[in-house]
Amino acid sequence: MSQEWTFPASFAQERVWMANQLDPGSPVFNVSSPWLFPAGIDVDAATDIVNQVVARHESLRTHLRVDDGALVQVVQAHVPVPLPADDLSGLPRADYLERLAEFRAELARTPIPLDEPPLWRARLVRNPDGLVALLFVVHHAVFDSHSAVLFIQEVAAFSEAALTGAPAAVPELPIQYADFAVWQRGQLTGVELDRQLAFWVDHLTGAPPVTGLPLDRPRPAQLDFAGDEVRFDLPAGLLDRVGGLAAGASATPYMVLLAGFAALLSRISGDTDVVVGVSTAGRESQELASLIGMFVNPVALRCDVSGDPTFRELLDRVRDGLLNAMEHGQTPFQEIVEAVDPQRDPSVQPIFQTALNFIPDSGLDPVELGTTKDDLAFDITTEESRLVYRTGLFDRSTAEAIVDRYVRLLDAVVADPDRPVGALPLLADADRNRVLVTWNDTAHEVPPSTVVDEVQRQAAATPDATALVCDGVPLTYAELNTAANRLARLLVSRGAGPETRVALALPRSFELVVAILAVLKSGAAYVPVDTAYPANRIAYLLEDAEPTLVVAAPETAALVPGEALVLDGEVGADQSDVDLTDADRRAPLRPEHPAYVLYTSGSTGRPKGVVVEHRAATAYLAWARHTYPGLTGTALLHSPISFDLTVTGLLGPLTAGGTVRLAALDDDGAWVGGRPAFLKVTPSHLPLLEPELSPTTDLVIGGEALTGEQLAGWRAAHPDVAVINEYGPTEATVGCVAARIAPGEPVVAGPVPIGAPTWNMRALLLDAALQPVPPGVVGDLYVAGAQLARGYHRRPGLTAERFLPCPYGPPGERMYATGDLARWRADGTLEYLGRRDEQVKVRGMRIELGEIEAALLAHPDVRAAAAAVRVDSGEPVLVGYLVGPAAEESVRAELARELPAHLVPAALVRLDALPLTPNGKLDRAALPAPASTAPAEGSYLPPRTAAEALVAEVYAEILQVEKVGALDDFFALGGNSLRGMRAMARIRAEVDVELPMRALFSSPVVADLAAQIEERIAAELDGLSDTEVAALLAAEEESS
Amino acid sequence: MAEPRFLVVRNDEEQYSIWSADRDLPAGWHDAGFAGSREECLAHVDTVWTDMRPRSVREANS
Repeated sequence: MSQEWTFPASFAQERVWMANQLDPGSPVFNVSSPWLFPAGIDVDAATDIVNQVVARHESLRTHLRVDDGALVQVVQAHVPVPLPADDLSGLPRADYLERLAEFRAELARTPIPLDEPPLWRARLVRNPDGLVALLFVVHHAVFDSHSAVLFIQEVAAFSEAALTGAPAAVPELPIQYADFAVWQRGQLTGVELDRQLAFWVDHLTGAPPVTGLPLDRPRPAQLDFAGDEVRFDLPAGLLDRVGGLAAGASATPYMVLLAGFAALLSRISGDTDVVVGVSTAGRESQELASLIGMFVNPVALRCDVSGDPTFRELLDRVRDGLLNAMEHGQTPFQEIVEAVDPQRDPSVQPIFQTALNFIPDSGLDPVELGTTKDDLAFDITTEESRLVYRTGLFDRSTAEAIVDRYVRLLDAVVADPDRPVGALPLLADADRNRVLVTWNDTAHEVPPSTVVDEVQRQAAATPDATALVCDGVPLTYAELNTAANRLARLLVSRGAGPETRVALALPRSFELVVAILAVLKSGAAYVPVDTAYPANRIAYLLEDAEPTLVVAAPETAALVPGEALVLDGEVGADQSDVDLTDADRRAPLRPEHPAYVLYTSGSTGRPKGVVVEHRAATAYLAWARHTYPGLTGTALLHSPISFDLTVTGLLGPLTAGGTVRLAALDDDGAWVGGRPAFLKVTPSHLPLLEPELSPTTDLVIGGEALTGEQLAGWRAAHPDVAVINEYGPTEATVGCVAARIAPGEPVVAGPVPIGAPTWNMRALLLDAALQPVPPGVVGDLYVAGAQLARGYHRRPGLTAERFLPCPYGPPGERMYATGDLARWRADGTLEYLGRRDEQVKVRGMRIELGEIEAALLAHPDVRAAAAAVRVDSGEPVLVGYLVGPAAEESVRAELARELPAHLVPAALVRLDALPLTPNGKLDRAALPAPASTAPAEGSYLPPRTAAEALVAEVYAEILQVEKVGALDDFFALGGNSLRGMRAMARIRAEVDVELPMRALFSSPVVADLAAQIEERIAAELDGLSDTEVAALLAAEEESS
Repeated sequence: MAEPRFLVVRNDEEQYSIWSADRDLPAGWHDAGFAGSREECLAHVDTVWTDMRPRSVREANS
């Protein structure tokens, strides 16, 4: 064994070592530095040259080791080593190149363990020209990109010396890397370190802990290095133009590239606060300039993209920010992570997840390693550039789209740096055309008409068909129509007409349907009043709607403050039963007049009345009749008419010749007459849907986001029924985007797409600057077209706020801002991603409730599930609700496997059924508070096993805590990753078991980590023969 | 950072809306002669848009 010396590891080595622990089997930190020796250098001379460089630099004779819980670098005395050599000079060139590529890839992709010297691999190859090529791969813990430049310079200098016999032109090395590490440890400590950390804490306070970039897949629970890269060439001359812009703005080309990246990230994510990783060389003093070693320190650059700055303004901000950050570039990044203490989450890289490097002179490594350190990182060079991305989060197509947009954005900013960031073009013309035109090609001839025309046309066509069934009693179209005519004439005589409103406070009954048609025939708009609502809400609604008349039933008349027209069976009996004409009305009825006003609750403020005109309703109904053949059969109408979901099941059949069966889902009457052909429900209704009520033709689901998990059970039992996921705010009339799952078509897990816009409707996915977002990118959903409502009754300001000028339609058109988030899938269908204002965050992390609900539902013994963020105790806490016999522990284990730590609910609550609103949506407000969201203070559980006792003891010692129980969490007790390293070293020393650092991150609770240790011991025992186990146990006996 | 400025705008149906002052106004929309913060513009719309029927409906009715 050669002589060796130990020194403290540098901060950079410590950081690389820690990161390496996440997956020691990954080659992510391998750096390649290939070289071709000049003619006249043979394999022996080449070996000698490499050895001379190794002799000069201690870093190439250094490895890392944990000594007593502290990381040290071990330097060994130089002993010349032979290098493996292959003679490929006899191969044809093509074969040679193929073999060389294989060698190169094999060397580059083989991980280099940090605790075994040396931390580099070399191989010599004689090529068909007789020249010797060097393949050299070295671990980033002892090498950085400037080291690669130095290494090649020295190899060249020693080659030159070998050929000429002159001394090699290499600089003297006054100090070695270990000297630097010792100096650094002495320097960056105490007050100086505190001062630097104070800057970073201040700089990063309030920064988003994780980028808001839309991901193709949810974050896996545990971060890893699996990655891929998209290589590309910047267009000719672009870098020159970047340089030109930089020169005119007192900036560097790198700053322009960075500002462009920040602008891109902001535009894609909607974040106006963007954190990007940049690297500092870390070689401030002259003595370090010629040293091979790991000096690089990452720095987090926080870019303020708020206020829609011009690109030139953003460049100024980035320049100032970068200069400021560089001044503090020596602060060890690991220390910053600990000081800023971002939400500890093993699924997210701390502080920054995106990076950009500008390495103009060094080309990219020819070998793609299939690894990444960041979620997204650009390496820009003057030759080939690349975007490296995390494959756990992004699809290749997304990465390619990001590259496209970055290049397009750079092209635009160098041409006109005074454009606002929000107006920079990100989309290729072809993509723009696709999302605006091709995927919105919904034009369909629908003559404008009124609901009245449509129903009367049907009544005339099929007068004897059954229009309505209530309590088993049928009513024909002719009977329904004449009854409505009589009442309509009475309503007209009482003042109802176009542009007036008639409120209907009626229970589900014949009279209700007759009254709806009568109001429409009079020319007025109906305003449903749910009689189950509290008196205050009814009073508010009647005051706000300013109805000309209120119609009530004898049993509901008392609910109405003031005068009501009570339908007692006699009312209107003396009126003519002939269809009304405009001559019978107070004013002619036109398709532009309102048909109904529905009150909806926003997340804030008082309910507002959405005014829907006849033309919008008939536009929707025309599409619905075409799409839902079940509307010509029987439709079960079960939900209140105050909910616009009900329009489909009521006016759909009545304009298609079908039959409306009025009954609640739990009424006996719902079953009479067999299974309906058509049924529309919310996803929350699905678990309640009895087989006898399940439709035979169309199941339409609307009102809430739908997942494959929610649908799976029903679908398995009814594979022959079409399922339609219908999306639509009341403001765009019932449904304006829909996806049809044909009979037999499989349902996949995850969100069910909402599909494509209905006839004559357009869906626009726009970014914050109202520019269309590319396919795959999350955008705000706006809808425009024939089904748009007129606005909110008596709310001009609110209407102006939500119905905006549409930049992508005919002149003067409006578009409705839905407040929903969605993205285009590659097939031109839309995926719904939730409400913008319901994006909940817990401790800064964005929470996707739907994802948690889907993970709960994935458990075989969970029938229905919900997730909510509660603030019962002040701090927001994530709570999961489940219905079903699943054991809490097994659910919890399942969630921990499937979800990142921040998405695992702190508490689980079992319910008999999920609470629903009268409309059948999940009633979030009625979800109960959990009994307790965490083990109560002082709930100390003593360690129960030897392994738990060991872990608890180590925690207590490292964290200086008096008492540690089986349920205590390392990080909750004040642990950080540096202390974690020491704890793991202590545990490894005690039990002699391979326990990677990541075990602590995934299982920081004493009991969990102890279980992991036991598992690993058991696994190691499995690998031993019985004799070995016996010997081991005997040894244990002796030592104890 | 300055508060973003908006305009009150109107189309030929005399429907009102608001629009960022920095952005090009889509075709068929006109400046209604009021600018201010978002809230100021919405409050202004509340005072001037007193008849919310589209102009074509209003004219056909009268």
